[in-house]
This record gives sequence, structure tokens and C-alpha cells, in this order.
Amino acid sequence: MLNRNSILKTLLYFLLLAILQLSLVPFLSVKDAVPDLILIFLVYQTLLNGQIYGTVAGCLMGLFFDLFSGGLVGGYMFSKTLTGFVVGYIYNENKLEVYTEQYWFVFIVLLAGVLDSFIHGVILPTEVNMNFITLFFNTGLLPGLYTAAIATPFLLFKKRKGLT
Amino acid sequence: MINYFRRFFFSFKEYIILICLLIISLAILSANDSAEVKNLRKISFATFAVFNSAVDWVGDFFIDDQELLKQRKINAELMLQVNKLREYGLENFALKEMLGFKKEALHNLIPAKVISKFVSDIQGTYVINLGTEDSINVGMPVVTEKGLAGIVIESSENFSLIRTLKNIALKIAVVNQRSNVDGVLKFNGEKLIIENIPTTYNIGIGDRMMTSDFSTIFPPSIPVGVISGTVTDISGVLTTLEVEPYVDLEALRNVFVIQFKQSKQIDSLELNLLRR
Repeated sequence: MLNRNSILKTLLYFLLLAILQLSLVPFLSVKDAVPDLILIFLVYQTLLNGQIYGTVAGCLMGLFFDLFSGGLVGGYMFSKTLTGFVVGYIYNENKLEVYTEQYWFVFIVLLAGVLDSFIHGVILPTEVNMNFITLFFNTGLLPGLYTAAIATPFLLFKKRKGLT
Repeated sequence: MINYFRRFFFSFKEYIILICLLIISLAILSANDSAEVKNLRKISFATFAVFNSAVDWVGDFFIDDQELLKQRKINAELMLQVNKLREYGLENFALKEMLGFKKEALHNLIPAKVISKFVSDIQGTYVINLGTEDSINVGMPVVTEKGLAGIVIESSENFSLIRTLKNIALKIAVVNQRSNVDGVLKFNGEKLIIENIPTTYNIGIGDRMMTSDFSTIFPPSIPVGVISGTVTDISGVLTTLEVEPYVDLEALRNVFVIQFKQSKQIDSLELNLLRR
């Protein structure tokens, strides 16, 4: 159940990850693809708290990230709302540990990463001349794979520390 | 009736919430150019940039000695070039004086540091550590020692938002340095391109492109990039030029903001032409 403490904790984690995302993660960019730490956090929170939480949290995280990054406001808000909603379908109270502590988590992050990046790539440009496959590969698959790869050490860290 | 709506809401609450939030997102997305959203973004990124600048020092670990050595070499080469250019400049000045040309203003360069990067396939946006208190205003070009990097699009007291060349919203009037052919440079999500250049024009791979005199947002003669490829359309009449920027935008760390004020006279003239 959500209480004030857990909301504050979530907010604090989000701010920390947003700072990392904007200041350090760009150094890891490969062909303009960067791992999305906020998405990993969103997926994790959604798998713990359910679909409605994921949808609303995705919307708020996306909005704040749009505002902090100086990008087009509403882009990540849209894509992360939808991603939170879709990941929410996987939520199962009886399988929390399976989905958040085993390699299922990396697979879910991969799916969410591809979906989030692709939607964000599709919704924004009006003049991008790319065919569907290039668009899917460049804006969806590549950042999604990268995000999933970064989620693997998070899983190991979480296993060791028992992070909840 | 109320019970019916209540039951309907509880049965489909996930979908109703999703649809409401998506509609709000799209509404905000379409209102990006409104003054309210711009102000909100300005306040947000400026507040957040304070945290970013606090962890900025970590980035210094990524600069190695090899990079410093490379920079020193570039500096030395530039020094030799500057010496030569100074001679040409003096000669040019004397000749222009003899011909009665108007004087061209030299622009002041303000050094700045990139403290946050929003790397995306389509909207490159960076934050620098200078703002209106340092005389940085919206519309000022941002350059490096290699060439044009972008333009200031928002400015708070201590921080400014830069739209880089790799942003689909930025379009720049450019000119070919060798043949003086003009064009409009834009980012298509993959490459910088100049579209609709007649194939008969004298333009080739390796030509240098720089900002044009026609640009009202950039001062002329700032190097932008080099033509790296050409694609001719099916009719064979028009060509699309691919441009490789001089500035490595991914590795951008230290930049200079040019204190350039757009000419109100030129702007008003162009507006007048548009109204006709």
C-alpha cells in the first residue's frame, strides 16, 4: 500500500535517476542511443504496485523528465504513460519475486524499452524521413536493448542488497 | 444512473485513466510553443540544472590526457593559422577601406560549459552553465573551435537551453563556401541534409558549408559542416546533400556563445515582405 514515505522515496529515487540520466548517461551513448534509467525504475515500480500506479507514475515521471531535460514537453509523458499501462498487464501479486528478482525483469525492461523509445520516436517528428524498419531499429530496438543491458547489473545489485 | 456510472468507472478505470492521461499528454505536446509551457519549461530546467551542475565534476574523469594532448596540438595549429589569417585580415581591411565598404562587427565569444545533455534521435538539447546574468539571450549562436553547434532557445538567470544541430526543429540558411550556392540545412532524424538543390549547381562532396548572409538567426561565415554525400531524386533534377557537421555533438563539453544580436531592421523588412 502506498503511503507518504514510499511516495517520497519514489520521488527521491526519480530525482537521483533523472540527474544521472541527464549528466552521466550521455557519456555512454552509442549512435545517439542511451539507456533509460527512469524507464527501468518505472518498470520496477509498476511490477511492484500494479497497472494504475504504473500508468499514473509513467505520466508524472515522463512529464517531469520532459521539463527537466528541456525537450518537447509531452513526448515522454505520452510514451511513459502508455509503457506503464502495458507493463501493468504483467503485474501479478503472486509473482512479484519472479518478475522483479529474476531475469524476467530484464526481458520486461527490454519490451518496455523498445515500446517506450519507439512510441517516443514516432509521436514527435513530423519531418523525419525514415522507413519503418530503420525507425524501429534506431528509435526502438537499439535504446531498448541498451536499457535492458543496463538493467542486468541493477538486478544483481538488487539481489545482493535486497532493495525494495 | 449514478450507480451505473460508478460501476462503469470501476469496471474500466484503468482504461479511463489511461485515455485521460494520454489526452492531457497530447494537449501539452500540441501546446509546446505556448508562452505558458515555455515558461514552465524554463523554470523547470533552470531549477534542475542546479543539481546537474553539482554532479558535473564527475564528467571531468572522462577527459583523458590523450584528449588534452590533442587539444594542445589543435591550439598550436590554430595559432599558426590565426597568424596567417591576421595578415590576410589586415590586407582585407585595407582593401575594403580603399573601396569604401562598411565595417563588419566582430562578435564577442563567451565561454560556457555543457552541464546536461538530452541525447535523442531527433531532438538534441543541451543545458549550459550561463544565463541572462552572463548576457546570454535567446537566439545567440553556440560554437566550438570547430564550428557551429547550435542556438540558445531558452535562457534563465544562470542556465540556458541549447538546441543542437541534431534537432529536427532547427533549420539553418547555409551557403557553399566554394560556389556560393545557398540552401537550408536541417536534420532528418539520421543526418544533416540540404534538400532540393538543382543537380546542375556546382556542388560536390568535400565542399565546406557555412552560415549564409541570408540567415537572420546566425551571423554569416560560421563553419557548419562538409558535404559527405549526394542523393539525386528519380527525376534527376534535384539533389539532396548530406552534410557531416564539424562539431562532434556527442562529445560536446566546452562551447562558446556568440554575443550576436539579430538585426531588427532585417527582421522587420522580412516581415513586411511576408505581409505583401
